[in-house]
Amino acid sequence: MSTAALHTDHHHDHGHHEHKESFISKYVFSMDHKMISKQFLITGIIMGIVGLVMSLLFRMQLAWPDEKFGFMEMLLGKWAQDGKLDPNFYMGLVTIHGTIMVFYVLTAGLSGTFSNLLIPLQVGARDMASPFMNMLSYWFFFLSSVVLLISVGVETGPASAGWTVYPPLSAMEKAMPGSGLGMTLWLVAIVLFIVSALLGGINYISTVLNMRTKGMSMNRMPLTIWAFFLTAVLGLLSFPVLLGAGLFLIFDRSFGTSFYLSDIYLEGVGAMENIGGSPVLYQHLFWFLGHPEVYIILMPALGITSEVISTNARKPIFGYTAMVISLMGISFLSFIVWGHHMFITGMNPFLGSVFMILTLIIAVPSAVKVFNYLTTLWRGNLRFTPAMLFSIGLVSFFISGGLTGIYLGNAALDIQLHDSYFVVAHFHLVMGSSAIFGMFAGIYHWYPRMYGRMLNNTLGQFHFWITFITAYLVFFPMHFMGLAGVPRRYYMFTLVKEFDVWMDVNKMMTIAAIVGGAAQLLFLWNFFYSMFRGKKSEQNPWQSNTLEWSAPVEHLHGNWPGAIPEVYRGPYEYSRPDREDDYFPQYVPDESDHAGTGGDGHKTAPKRKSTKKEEVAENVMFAAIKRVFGWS
Amino acid sequence: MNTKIASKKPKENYRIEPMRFNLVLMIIASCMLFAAFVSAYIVHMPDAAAKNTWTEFDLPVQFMYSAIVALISSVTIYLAYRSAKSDELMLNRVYLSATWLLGVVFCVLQYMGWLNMISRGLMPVNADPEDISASYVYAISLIHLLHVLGGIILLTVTLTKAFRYQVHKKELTLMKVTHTYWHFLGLLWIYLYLFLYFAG
Ligand code: HEM
Ligand SMILES: [Cu+2]
Repeated sequence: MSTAALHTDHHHDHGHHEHKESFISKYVFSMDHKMISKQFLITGIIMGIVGLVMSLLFRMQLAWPDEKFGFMEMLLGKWAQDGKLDPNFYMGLVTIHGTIMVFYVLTAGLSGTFSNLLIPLQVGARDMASPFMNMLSYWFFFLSSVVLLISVGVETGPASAGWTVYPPLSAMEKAMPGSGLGMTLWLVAIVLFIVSALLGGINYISTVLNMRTKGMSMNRMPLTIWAFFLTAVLGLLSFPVLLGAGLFLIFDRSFGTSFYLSDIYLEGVGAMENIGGSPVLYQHLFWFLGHPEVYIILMPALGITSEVISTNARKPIFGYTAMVISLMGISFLSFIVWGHHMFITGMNPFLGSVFMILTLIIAVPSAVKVFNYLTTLWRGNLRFTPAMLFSIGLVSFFISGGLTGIYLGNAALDIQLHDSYFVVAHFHLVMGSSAIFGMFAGIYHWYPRMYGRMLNNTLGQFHFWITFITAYLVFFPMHFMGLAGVPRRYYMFTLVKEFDVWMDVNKMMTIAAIVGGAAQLLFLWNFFYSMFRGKKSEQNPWQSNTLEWSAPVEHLHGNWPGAIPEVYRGPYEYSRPDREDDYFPQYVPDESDHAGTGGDGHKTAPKRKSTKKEEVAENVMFAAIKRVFGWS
Repeated sequence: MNTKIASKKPKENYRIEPMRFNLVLMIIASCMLFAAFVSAYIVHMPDAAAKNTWTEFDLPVQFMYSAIVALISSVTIYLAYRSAKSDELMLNRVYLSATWLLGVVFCVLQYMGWLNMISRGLMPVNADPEDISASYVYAISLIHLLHVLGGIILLTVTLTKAFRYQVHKKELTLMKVTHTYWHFLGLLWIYLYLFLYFAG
């Protein structure tokens, strides 16, 4: 079937049959987007393991503050003398954990992997617009990861001011141990990271806009591509601002300027001479990236979910256009809501209420997406593959975490909730768990495309259920702790009597975290074992419509051996009533329509009629909306 | 001479040359960086002024000269581009070299501008409260200068290629990229100069 799909008027002159690759050019300094995507994935997984282990270490401290753990001393040396975690190092662990998870795993690991793998393959391009820049993007990321990991090992400890590195802690070398070399290395790592993100993002945008194959109009792009594209736009517009914030921080730290510093008395040093700076300025600059960043993390996961849910429900995605518009709405709004992280900085209450209203409006496109996922699932022929389960998991976390966003978005409530465990609960559900689940969904779904083999299904199921349950066990109770006033980023709570009641909950959460962490071993085993021993996959194992499944898996520059296939329809034509197969790939022309009623050779497909199931879904949704708004 | 003109293998038909499009995106990213600086300046100024930690001072005259140099070099790079387009290779090299020289002059002028500020006691580091406004001028002009250094490297590459007969009517991509980027640098400095002039 796939040969029938190739159109031949498209000349190709790529060098893939001319040059031989060396080991270095194939596996190390590769310029092939598929290899670069694997490099991003593996690096992301390694960073993920580091971040996970760190979280287990500080969770153990929270659960058993008086206990001594011999293995900790072995692992951390002077940072855990007598097996007790050092308070400064606790802050360092929290900081590096956050940094790793937000930037290294869920930005580079997620966007880097799937944008690289899927953009050229799904839009029908031979590679990225600039393969060279793409390679640089990975190697900047790699360097950045190395620098960050080195920073954990330096004498004075890693950066410890939290992943947001607010000044003054981050702006003065002597503020605390972690403000020294560790902080400097953190800044170096982040600058390298930003360069990597920009190089990558520029390529993604340019490839999507300029290199789509014939027939692949914007409104036929899979939602994955829309998500990656808009994510890259967000990154392009917001990462430079973080760079600016970071440069000012570097100037303050190392050259003696006072952009962020004013009127500070430092123990052991005395009054600092810096005057006139504004620490709140840093917060503005940081959150101008920071809020878009959370969507940079989430949107690719949402895109992956759209694709996986539609494929595994054997139904067109409900409301393709609404999905695209929601993504656009979220992207746009995410630039004008950053103030909701700063309600208690003493901002003008009027400004606060503007940020509040804008923030709450984000709930609208978010809800549209959720309802569309649910209606796509409604009465589908659901296939509960691990990818599907993880996608549904994402929807679940997105709902339970998104709802608390609406609480936090209320300036008045946020005065109480800010910097409490409620915030930790909110973003670990809506961003942490959601996006990680989206990433897992992507890995399970496209593993056959990456490695030509299948992941083990049973292990995948176990992996999903254990991770899903433990994630809720770890993060859900945090809501109640936060409501009771337990603050985040504290080393231990034993000195506050009122918090004693949370001791058992803390233990339960830590145990759940350890179990959940252990479940990731199932995944790691599955991932690396299947690479060599997994069942060989078919060309299109999920009977999916999108273009990437028309290309052979083996390492091949230019993706398709012949001409690039042409595209004839949208990506979600599942279960068309006029077709025998329950899918209709984008690259199969209508002429070859062999089955069903419409197969009499007319050039344009008959306009798709909605199926019975969709009508039911639509009716249910409208009924629900009417009920909610009280129309009759 | 024709034999020396390297010819490129044909490529797929893209909507826009990827390299130029990537450049435009890079320029957008740079604009965001400077937008951040400019917004920080605007937000910081009234705040600091209220606490008497912000002085207004005259920008060094060298910065104005460098803006004029930027303007002239925009003309020369345009002429270089035009001569490459019409295959006047000798002229192309002359104009590229002129642009390169002007670029170096620009850097020297910026440096002299900083010396000028230092001679007036406006330090980059914060010894006096008023230096905050000076810090901004130093930081913004420094980051801009780094962009210019990037531009000079790009020019050097183009110039080398021009001497190897690799810049001509059929091989314009690099020339176009250099051309666009150089205009951006000039315009950006003129904008920054005017902004600092009127806001400070
Ligand atoms: C309905 C949508 C959402 C609303 C109204 C909302 C609102 C908020 C608010 C007001 C805060 C600040 C709380 C505080 O620090 O006091 C916050 C924190 C946060 N949100 Fe959301 N949010 C929403 C969705 C999301 C999504 C989708 C993500 C990520 C994908 C996300 C990630 C975060 C993170 C990471 C923080 C904490 C940052 C930190 O202080 O370290 N939020 N959210
Ligand atoms: Cu936010």
